[in-house]
Amino acid sequence: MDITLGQFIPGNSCIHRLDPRTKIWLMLAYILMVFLVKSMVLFVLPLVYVLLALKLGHIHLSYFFKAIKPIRVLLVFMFLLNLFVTPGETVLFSWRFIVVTREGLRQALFISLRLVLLMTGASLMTLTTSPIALTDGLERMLSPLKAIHFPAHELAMMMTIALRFIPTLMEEADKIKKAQLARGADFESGNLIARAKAMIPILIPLFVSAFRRADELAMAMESRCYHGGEGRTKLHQLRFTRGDLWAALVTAAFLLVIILVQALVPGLV
Amino acid sequence: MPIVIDHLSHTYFDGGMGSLSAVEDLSLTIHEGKFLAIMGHTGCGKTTLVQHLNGLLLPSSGRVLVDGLDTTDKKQRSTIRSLVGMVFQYPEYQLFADTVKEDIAFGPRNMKLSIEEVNLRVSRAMAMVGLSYDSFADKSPFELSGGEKRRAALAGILAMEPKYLVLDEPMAGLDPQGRRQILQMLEELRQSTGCAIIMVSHSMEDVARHADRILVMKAGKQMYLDTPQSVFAHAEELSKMNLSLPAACRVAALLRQKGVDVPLDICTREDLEAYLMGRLKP
Repeated sequence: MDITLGQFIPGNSCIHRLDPRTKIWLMLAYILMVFLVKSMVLFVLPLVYVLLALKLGHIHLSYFFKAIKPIRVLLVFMFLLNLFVTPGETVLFSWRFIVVTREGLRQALFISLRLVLLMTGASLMTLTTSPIALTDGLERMLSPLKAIHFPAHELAMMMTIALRFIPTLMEEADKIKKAQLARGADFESGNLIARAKAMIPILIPLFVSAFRRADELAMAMESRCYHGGEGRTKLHQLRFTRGDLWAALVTAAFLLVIILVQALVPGLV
Repeated sequence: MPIVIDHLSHTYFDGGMGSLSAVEDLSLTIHEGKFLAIMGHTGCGKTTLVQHLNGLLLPSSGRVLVDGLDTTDKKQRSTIRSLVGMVFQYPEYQLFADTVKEDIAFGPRNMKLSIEEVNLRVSRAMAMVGLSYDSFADKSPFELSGGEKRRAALAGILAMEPKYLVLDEPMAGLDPQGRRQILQMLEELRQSTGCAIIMVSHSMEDVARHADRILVMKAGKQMYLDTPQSVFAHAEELSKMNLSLPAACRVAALLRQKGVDVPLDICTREDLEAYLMGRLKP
């Protein structure tokens, strides 16, 4: 399995050490940055930003391309769609009903660049933040909403448990698959419907076992006095440090430059 | 024809970081109608080894031939899987169908047998594991008790009527009575159908009583492959590997310390009893 999005690489770089809340806010700022950019030249700035973060996080450059891999089909599709259907005046190329205009090319490049930058930025956050830290950060960020009875702690706990059980359930699915293969099950031949039907002997035992595990886990948590977020304390308190301040300042500077340049220099390509 | 394992090695995550050699250069012949027990410490490669017997795992090097058919040959795989039945650890977790009889019929149906033959095999398999057809056939497998579930799952493999039956710790988590029932059933199966049994087990008593041969594995390699009497004679080496001896062997060893000359090849309670009674008689 190769899922880059959501895969954590342990490390101790300055990016890893940032408070997860900072990283979530900075990612939102980064998304804003990508959408604010209206000129091709200025796309250099978010690109530099994300490459700088990769470098500081000691993440190998190959992850930049791994992050794009799952959306490559979407990327090509979006590019072609925008290339051909955007109306425009300056015709660059035409053959029968296919017309490519300057505006279309520009729009297609814009959309693709945005997608690439968003994907790499999002995966950068999950590459440098452990799932536990991420849910911890989310819980703290959402905790003001507790005033309106929003279950912030419960939501974070659900996410943590779900993440924790992904490998367990994968292992379980593999075991059940092998057991059914040994009984002569065939998952590889036949049409789509036959193949979907062939999954039943795996899915039913998998669900049964997931429910059993959930039941056992609930019992184990309750017998250790878990009763939700009320009055619960943390072993690792989240704290903002000087590094968080610096990261916020640098990000703000990038945002500011983009806004100012676009306001003051009209007619950028 | 037997199952021939020829210089089998298996490496997980081959080539990459953290590559793990689970079985190393193991050669073994499993004869028809015999009872082979496989023992060893957790993580010594027992489960990896048995999963090679029906092509669920393929050798990194070496070959596995089931009645002359190579497990790497895709065209032979379904034949091999009907020859070699495999019962996994906690087989009750693979039950899925609406009724017990449907679940047991899953294997035979995959073998493309006729409906009459499938039905016949289902009722035969249920009789063999001691689940009465009338009271269990139409029940949901999920409303059975733990022991009944295990037996229903076993019946699902037995209904394929394999020539070799591989069991990975089939008695784990059962009470003494449940263990006895399973062992007795396997013994009956072997006598009535001549099915070979390959069983991974930690229970020395059971192994000593039933196995023709024992394979002891250590870190993926073959340590001993011999009759129970000869294997249990290596008392010291086995206890170094954290494998306990059958109670009869331990009693015999204590008697030997006291100067009673008990032969080394005694490893079941019955043999020990017979020997001691023989000494008492003038």
